[in-house]
Amino acid sequence: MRRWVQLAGLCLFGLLFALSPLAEKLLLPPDLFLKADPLLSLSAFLASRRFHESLLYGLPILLTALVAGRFFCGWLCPLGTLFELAAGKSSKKKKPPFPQWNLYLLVLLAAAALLGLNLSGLVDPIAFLTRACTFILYPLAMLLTATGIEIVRPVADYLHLVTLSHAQVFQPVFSLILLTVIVSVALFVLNYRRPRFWCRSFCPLGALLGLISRIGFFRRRVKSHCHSCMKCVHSCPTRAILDEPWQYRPGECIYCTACATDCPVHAVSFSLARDPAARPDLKRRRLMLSAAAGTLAAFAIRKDGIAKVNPNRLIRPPGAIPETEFQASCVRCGQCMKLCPTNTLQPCLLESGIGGIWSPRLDTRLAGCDQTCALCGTVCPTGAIRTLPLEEKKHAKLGTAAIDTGRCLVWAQDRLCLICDEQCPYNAIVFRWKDGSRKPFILDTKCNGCGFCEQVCPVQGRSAIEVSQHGEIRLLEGSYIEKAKELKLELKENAGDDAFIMQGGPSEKLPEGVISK
Amino acid sequence: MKQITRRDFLQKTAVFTAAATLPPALFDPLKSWAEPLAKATIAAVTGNRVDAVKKAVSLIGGMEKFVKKGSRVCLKPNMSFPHEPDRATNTHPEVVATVARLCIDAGAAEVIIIDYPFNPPEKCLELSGIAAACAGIKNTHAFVIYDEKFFQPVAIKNGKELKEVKLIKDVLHSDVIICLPTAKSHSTTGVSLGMKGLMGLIWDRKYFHASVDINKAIAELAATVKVNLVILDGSRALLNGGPSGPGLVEYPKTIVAGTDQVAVDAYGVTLAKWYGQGFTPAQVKHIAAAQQLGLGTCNLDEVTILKAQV
Repeated sequence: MRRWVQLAGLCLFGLLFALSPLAEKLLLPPDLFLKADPLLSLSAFLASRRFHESLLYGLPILLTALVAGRFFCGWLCPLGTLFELAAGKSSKKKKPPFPQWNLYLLVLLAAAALLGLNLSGLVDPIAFLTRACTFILYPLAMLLTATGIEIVRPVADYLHLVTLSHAQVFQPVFSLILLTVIVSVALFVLNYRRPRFWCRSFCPLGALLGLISRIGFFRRRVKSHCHSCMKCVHSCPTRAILDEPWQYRPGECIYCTACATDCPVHAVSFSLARDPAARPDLKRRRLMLSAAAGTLAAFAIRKDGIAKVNPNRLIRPPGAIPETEFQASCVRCGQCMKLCPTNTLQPCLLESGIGGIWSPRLDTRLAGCDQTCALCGTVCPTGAIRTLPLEEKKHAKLGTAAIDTGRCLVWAQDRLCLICDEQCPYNAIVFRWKDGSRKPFILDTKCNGCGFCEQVCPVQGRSAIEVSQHGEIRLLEGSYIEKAKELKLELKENAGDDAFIMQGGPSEKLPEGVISK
Repeated sequence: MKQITRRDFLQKTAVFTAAATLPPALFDPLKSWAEPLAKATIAAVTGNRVDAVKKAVSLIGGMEKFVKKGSRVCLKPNMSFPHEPDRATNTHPEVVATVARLCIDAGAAEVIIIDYPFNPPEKCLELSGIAAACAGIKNTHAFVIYDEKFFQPVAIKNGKELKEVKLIKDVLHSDVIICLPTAKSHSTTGVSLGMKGLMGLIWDRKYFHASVDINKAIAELAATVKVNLVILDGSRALLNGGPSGPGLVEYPKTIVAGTDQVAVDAYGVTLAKWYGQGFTPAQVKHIAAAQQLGLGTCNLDEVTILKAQV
């Protein structure tokens, strides 16, 4: 029974992840698990002090915790299920190496969040699993599909199966794939040696649910005819049963009911009860240390110079709220990057400071931001990227392009290049007569920073035209269209400055490819 | 899926083998460079674009003259931009669909509509309306490709600007190549018509802009690709802001068809007052360069122009 529920949860998670591009057509939000994760929404709330609907989505799991503690961990958590499926031979004798460190970690996270640093996404199981799917499973699946197609393509060519012989698969690339692989493989290897060690020792979501369980009223009970055979002690996957069968830590019990099943005399049952729960034996000094560590981490990371002046190029997704609130809200799940059709959304390493690792940025050299798409905002579980209608999204200016005249083929080498102009969706790049030839200029009021110019620039290496965050519009609330109006931006598709040629000027203003008479 | 009969299989194998062995002959640039010129004939038909396409093709001999029974046809429209038809940056979907139907009716075994578009590729196919317009036509497939493996290098022996280009394989393996350009301005080359449109068939477009004289390179490219027929969609013309627009759109309502790439492009130049001024075909450097290579004539006095109205 439990296994079936677990598998159903895992399948639902996988299905929602795979179908996330169809966000609007699904009955359930594709980020359901992330939204329902109370750790993520609470820490985003604490760090950003903004109410977001995900706080409400988190309530059901908090309620189950009130009744039955870490029921979620044993029955629903997709990462927990995977860990169970991928466990090696259970090593029953071994105690978890770091007992109850998850509680200290939770205290650390809470202290950091209070000071505005949201680190929960790095260690939360749902965020971790979503990240692993985005950076490993998804590109790997595409690679394998592409390889499969390459294997059958010669046959398709030969048999003249036109559609198959033209099949193409988009291959996403991500800058932190290797790091994600290392972290994930390490966790699964450790899990193989010590099943569910993560859940037992580190998972802060488990710690949060376990804490709440102290006032729970669905408890494990052992009847008096127990003859202390100790079978239940050994069958408990989380070692929640202490050295004597009738003592257990509700904060670590995942309600798998293995102990009840395995009891030869049926002395164990789970029922409504209001026992005084065994207190987690926390060391006060360690708790203080954890809180101090969280405080110190928040201080050190948030007061890094980069928080005040960021010298790096950092272009956030369209609709990203102002940077401070953004970093406090983003839980680094990677869903936005998975959905990005052009692959321009990439995880930060250090571009937004050490606390911003895995948060999304645009790599406009790799690709531009599709002006017919507003998907990234539809799957952000904490509202760090706002859900915007397409027209609003187009006005959420990402930054501004600038030409490096020392590298530009036209400015520096007098070549007949126009590729950036050709690709600009807004005619923000125009050619004007300057020093005897036509040269590209950027109209900053028409540039919304989409970055296609930078992607296609034929200059090798660094592009001769680059987008930076200069002029970006980041709003907590309100309309981007209104804001753009206020700033006198014209993010409209019209002929723009190219019309200058139309006004009957002298004939040398014709394109270079035409000999003037 | 349709069952493959033995006869079918043998036929297809034969066609495929023939197609695979033919290209070197088709693409011998020496040949096309030196081809002697007869007086070119083109058709220019004004009116409703669907009827105009049909009329123009029939004026120059009918599609059967170009498309033999069982042949593989490759259509190269402009569908490089994720824009809707109104913007006049892509060939009108009705023009593409009409030509595809004419080919199938003439007995083509297969029609492949192909382009190497800009980002995002799938959206170009969708927003241009071409995928939808051609969806119901039998044995007709519209593809956008964006992977280098669909290209094949072709050496250009006599090339001054180009020594080699990577061309879309389908172009090399087709029996008939029909260009379906849309008429638009171009901020570098002045206009983008049939010959300029061939840049959509090559992998390294950046090279044209960054490393060589783009006007001469286009002419050499046009000499390399064996284009059997050009049908220019002048139902609309993007007068400025080209090639990507947005810009002023005018409606010459004219379809131009012919086998002489240079003559068709030359007539295309006269369709509109580009950049508010207009110019003669000989003023457009890549068209003049193509004439110099002996690809055709841009002197419209030397061309028989069959005009009609529908």
